[in-house]
Amino acid sequence: MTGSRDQRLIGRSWRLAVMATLTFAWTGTAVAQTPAEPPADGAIEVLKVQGNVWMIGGAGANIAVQAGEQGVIVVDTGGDGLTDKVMVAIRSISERPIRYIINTSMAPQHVGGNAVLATLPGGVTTGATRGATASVIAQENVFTRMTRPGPGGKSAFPSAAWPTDGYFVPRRGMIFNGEAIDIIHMPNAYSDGDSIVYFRGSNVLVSGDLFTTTNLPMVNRAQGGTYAGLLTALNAMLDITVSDDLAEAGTYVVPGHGRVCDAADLVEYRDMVQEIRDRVKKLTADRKTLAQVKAAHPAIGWEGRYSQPGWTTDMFIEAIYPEFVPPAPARNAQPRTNRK
Amino acid sequence: MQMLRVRLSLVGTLAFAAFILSARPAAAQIDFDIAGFWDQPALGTVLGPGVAAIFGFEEDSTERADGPPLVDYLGIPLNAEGRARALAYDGALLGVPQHVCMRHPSTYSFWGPARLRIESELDSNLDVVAYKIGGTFRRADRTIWMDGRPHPSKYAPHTWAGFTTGEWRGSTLVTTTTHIKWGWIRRNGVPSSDQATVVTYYTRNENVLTITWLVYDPLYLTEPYIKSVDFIAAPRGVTASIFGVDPPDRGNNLFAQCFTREEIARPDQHYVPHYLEGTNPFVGEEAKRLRIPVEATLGGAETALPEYKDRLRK
Repeated sequence: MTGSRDQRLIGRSWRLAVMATLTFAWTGTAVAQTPAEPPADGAIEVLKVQGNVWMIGGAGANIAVQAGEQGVIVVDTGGDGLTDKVMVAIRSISERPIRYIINTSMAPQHVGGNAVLATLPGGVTTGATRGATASVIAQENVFTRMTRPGPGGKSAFPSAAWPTDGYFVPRRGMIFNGEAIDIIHMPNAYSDGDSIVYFRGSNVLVSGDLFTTTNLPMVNRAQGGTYAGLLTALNAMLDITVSDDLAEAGTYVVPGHGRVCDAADLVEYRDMVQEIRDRVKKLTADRKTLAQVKAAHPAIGWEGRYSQPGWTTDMFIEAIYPEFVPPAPARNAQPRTNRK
Repeated sequence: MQMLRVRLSLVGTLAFAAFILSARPAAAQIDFDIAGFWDQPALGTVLGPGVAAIFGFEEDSTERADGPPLVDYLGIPLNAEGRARALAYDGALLGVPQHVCMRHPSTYSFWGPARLRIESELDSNLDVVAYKIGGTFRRADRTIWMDGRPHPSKYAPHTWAGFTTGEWRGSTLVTTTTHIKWGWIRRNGVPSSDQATVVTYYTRNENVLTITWLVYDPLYLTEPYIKSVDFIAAPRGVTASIFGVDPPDRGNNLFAQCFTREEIARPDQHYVPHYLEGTNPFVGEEAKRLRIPVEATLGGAETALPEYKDRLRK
């Protein structure tokens, strides 16, 4: 049953991606491309990352779990329809109650399990009938966007999935299971509500979709994302990470999608983002049109690795191109004269 | 009749050899071992009584010292994506603090500066569980698991050394390495991706260990890149110390420790040096030195073949 629902959801997101592409092809104009995250493969895996932090892969977006005597923190909840498997995975790490859920953004594969995990009585995955549920922490723009009425006047997300504990400051700190945790807002990167989460004691950083090992950089312009903000966020994350001896290990990074990484992997990705930025910047400075920029392949070197059906190279370039186009001179602008 | 006797003798010998091999337990079939100290040979190195090396260091001297010329991809089967990345490479990248301490990855490390100490890890039956190879530049020490364990999951971290398993095929140890970080297959910007797999053959012939590796990289190569290097036995073992294999108090461990620091003046803290398309000033430099067309230095599968030389002459 779950499998068929997953397939329907995956099928729906693919259809949407194809429709968006066809729309663009038909109109021949740039439309605001929205990244479709890689579909969940449903093969859930649990990996110990370091210290008190684990990663659950295969449930859509990666889920980070910090566990200890006080209970469990879950960073992102995976895609809709996989929560039963996610709960089993969390239980294999700890049977203590889930006390906090942190959403790194409102991307569907990051909040899909909120409604179930945030309403577990007592926050426990082992079955209970009463007790306090988990708090859902997110940057306030995630709350604003998730509660916004969609078609038909209703939110696209059930109210049970909404964040219950929004923050609006640049950084929110907390201590849980004896570990200091930073929740840091990264403005206008993937969207306008991105958070990264740094577990200081475990030395593990959770990046959300600001960094993946599966996709070209994802920028959701419709939700306030910018390429410049994404690059700033990547550099900010690099400033947090510290490699162990000889550029390996040290701070580990749980990306939005893909494998467990370290600072060197983040460096490779940041370098790519900056190189592509410089290429597109040069092309747009030379007044190249969108079609010409696409034809110039500014992402060459990474297209084969990162271009995916839900977020192709063309979709990526369409999304970031407007940000680089120099403003056109005002139509009625008159040259200055020294009138007397 | 004479011919028949020779044939029978040959068949008998082969049958006897097959019997001997099949009668021995699998772990004992190893007639060769790679454990020990291995050094990069130099001209005149004594390999045995009256035998001096006439190969080795000279062949790969640039790789084992300062590095190869820039924009020299001759013989490397690059595709368009690989060539684009290679041409974007600016050597100043090595001065960026986050890049300063990167180790030589398994797609390259035996080609660069290396003096190997290979140890075997034994189980209670004295069977080899793993070989451990240290001594490549900045020590991306490679563990070759011989116990049949599977490679890690797709979510496991990638390392400079990668994850390696191996098996003996006759007298050659054949290993497969996956989970390697993004890196390079030549130290002049020729890239390797995190999807690369390296198959390595270790063949020992008396005092010489020949290591041949094939890099399979679906992202950047149109076919496997093949390279081999030789090492000679160095029983005294002292040579390994400069790469930090020995405890720090026994030698110079500069190559095993690294501290990031600013080495170049950069416009901003997060500046990443690279060349935009068509701006790499080193294109043509090596071609001019070698008196070959620029096209040849840009690589491609055909540039590895003898016919390519003939084509250039026409």
